[in-house]
This record gives sequence, structure tokens and C-alpha cells, in this order.
Amino acid sequence: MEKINSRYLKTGFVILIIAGVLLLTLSGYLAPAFNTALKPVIGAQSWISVRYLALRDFLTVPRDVVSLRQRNSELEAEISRLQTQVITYQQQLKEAQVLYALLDFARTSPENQYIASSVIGRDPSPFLHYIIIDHGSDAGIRFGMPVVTQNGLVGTVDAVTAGAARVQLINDPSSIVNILLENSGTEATIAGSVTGEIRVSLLPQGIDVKDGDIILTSGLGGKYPGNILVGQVSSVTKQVNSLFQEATMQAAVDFNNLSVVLVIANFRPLDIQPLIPNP
Amino acid sequence: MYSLLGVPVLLLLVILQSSVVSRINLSNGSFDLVLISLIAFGTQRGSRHTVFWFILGGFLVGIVSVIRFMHPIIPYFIVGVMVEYLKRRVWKVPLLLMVLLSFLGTMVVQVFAYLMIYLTQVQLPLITSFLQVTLPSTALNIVVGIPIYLLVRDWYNSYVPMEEE
Repeated sequence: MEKINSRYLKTGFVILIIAGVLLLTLSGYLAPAFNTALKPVIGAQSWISVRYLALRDFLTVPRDVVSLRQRNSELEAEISRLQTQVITYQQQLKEAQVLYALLDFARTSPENQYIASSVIGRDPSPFLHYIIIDHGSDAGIRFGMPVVTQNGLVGTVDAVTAGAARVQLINDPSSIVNILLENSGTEATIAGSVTGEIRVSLLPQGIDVKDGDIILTSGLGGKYPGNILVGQVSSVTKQVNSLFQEATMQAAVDFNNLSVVLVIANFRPLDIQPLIPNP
Repeated sequence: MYSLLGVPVLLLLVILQSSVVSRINLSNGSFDLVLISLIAFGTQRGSRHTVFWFILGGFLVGIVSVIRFMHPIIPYFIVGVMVEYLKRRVWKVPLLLMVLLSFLGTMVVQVFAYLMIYLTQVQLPLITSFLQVTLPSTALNIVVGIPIYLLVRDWYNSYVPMEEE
């Protein structure tokens, strides 16, 4: 009985001590003592921790450099891929804009059937002005078909293979087009030259030709349909003792930057050669 | 090895000439990539069958050119013979030979093209053609001919010694 009482007393004493310590801790009376006791422990832990982290960094940094370099090269590759993509999209946007413009032009003349073709080359000889387009007889292109853009007349199909065609530009030295001056209603002809300059000839002396006068195809001769914009008069030369006035013209089409053209597929040029009497 | 590579390389040069180089102009003159590359090849020491490659080059140019088919072969053949002839005499200064042949070769090709167009298609004005087309083309060919020569020399030296060893 005494043993049991003594055990209860001990347990109660321990519980009282624990409760007392807890109370003292919670009330903050033991904080200075704890701080003093923990300081060396914290100091030791900090010392070990800093050394450990330094050692870990020392051991793992080279691996990080390798992975960073790898990541860097991956990102650089990604940047180049995206840059290529941007250039491709810009190119496609440009092409789309040209095609939209051509489509608008085609809608303005619904009576014509057009075959859109990309310009893939030029004649190697600098004396001549020809382009090569990426559609030929397989696409329905035939010799003599007129070629235009949304800006105006480009030329005529000069030779055709199954997959490509050669187009003679109107500024080629051997090209002659019958034209009509819109303002005066006068007919004349334009001819290209080796420099690419286009001259208007056979203009009667009596008519009034001014800079900026609009030039259209006349349709005479059956080589081109009528009323296609060709360009504008840029300068006029009038000589008193000459039968005709002469002028130079600014073509509506920029022949140096042709990328897509339209071939008028439902126009068949007329061969009037048999109708010309032999001398 | 270069004999096998020659035909596709020439084809590629003709395609580049038609699709890219013809769009780069000085005044109205343009650079003749095929001719200059052939001259650069022909002036390399030990190059063989030069005249054959010139004839093939002329043939391929004739396919894409408006100037009547087969006619570019003649001036290219003449330039090929000139290369063969002059190489034996000026071989110690290959760069000078390159410049000289660029000038002479361009003149031969351009004069022949002018004559062909004049006789068969349209009468081009002589002075304008010379000043606006022939002279700028010659200047371009001479200037661009030097880097082309160096490129062809590097290409030639990297393939031909392996072939001959």
C-alpha cells in the first residue's frame, strides 16, 4: 500500500514539474535560459549547414553548367526555328497580299478566266526582257495568251512547255503593243527597248498629249484584249518637222519586282498574218 | 569525282542564273554566273576537259534563253578555247588570268548575243546596248569573278587532290 502511494506521489511530482516547466515556458520566463542554451547548438548547425551547402554547390555547379549550356543551345535552336518561322509567315503574308490583290483584280473582270502563276526566273541575257512562270500547257496556258497583274499589262506568253511558260514583257526590245490614250481616244503603239524604257510612237501631231495621260490596250491587231491598263505618259517630245509625236511612258507594272502574274486563259490571240497582203 | 559533280553543279548554276542572278542588275547589265564559274574552273591548274564543260554550259544556258537554242554554245566554246590557250601562257598569275578572261569572255558572249538578237529578232541600238548592257555586265563579271574564283579554287583543291591520290 505504501509502495503504491509512493509511486503515485512520484508520478504526481513529475507531472507537476512538467506542468510547471510548461507554464514557465508558455509564460516566457524560460526563454532567456533556452536562448542561452540553444545558441551554441544553432551556431554549430549554421556552421555545418553553410559548409554543407558550399560543398554541395561545389560538387553540383559543374553539372549545372553543362545542363545550362545544353539548355542554352536548345533555346538558341528554338529561337532560330522561330525566326525562320517568322520569316516564312512574313513571306506567306506577302504572297497572300499579292494574291488578294490579284483576286480583287480578277473579280473586277469576271468575264475573263485567269491562271495565277509565280514568276520563277528571267532570261539570262540582259539584252532581253522575258520572265519564266511556273505553269505551262498542263495548266491550260497557250502561246499568245496575255499576262497581267492587278496593276496592269505585263506581256504575252511567248513559249510554253508542259510545266512552265516564257512571257515576253512589254518592255522587251521586240515587243510592240497597240494602245489607246484614254483622254484623247487616240490610238498609237508602244515599243520596249534594251534599257527597259517604253516609248510611245505613231502619235499624230494634232492631238494634245500630256504627262500623266492614261494608256490602255486598244485591242487592235488581236494580240491583246482591249482596255487593259498599260501605264501613263511620262514625257512628250514634239518635233515640228516630224510626222508623229513621240513620248515615253511609265509602265503600271514594276517589272523588276514581279512575283505572281495572271494569264488570261480565255483569250485567244488572232493571227492576222494571212490577211496582210504580200507586196 | 568532280566529273560526276560537274553536271549537277552546272545545272544548279543555270537555275541560279535564271532565278536569282538575273534579277541583280547594274544599270541594265547582269552577272553571268555560269560563264564566270566556268572560267574560274578552267583557270585552275590541272583542270581537264575545260572546252567540254564550256560547251555543256552553253547548251544548258541555251535551254533557258530566248536567244535561239544552241546558239550560246558557240560563244561559250570560243571562251573555252581562249581559257585553254591563255592558261598555258599566264598560268603564273591565275588571278590576273581570271580578270583578263572575265573581261574577254563577257565581251565574246555579249557581242555574240547582240549579233544574234540583231540578226534574228530586233535591231538593238549599238551604242546604248554597249553602254547600258555590255559595259555594266563586264564590270559586274570582273568584280564578282574574283570571289567566285576563290570559291571555285577552294572547292577544286578540296576534291581534286583526293581524286588524283
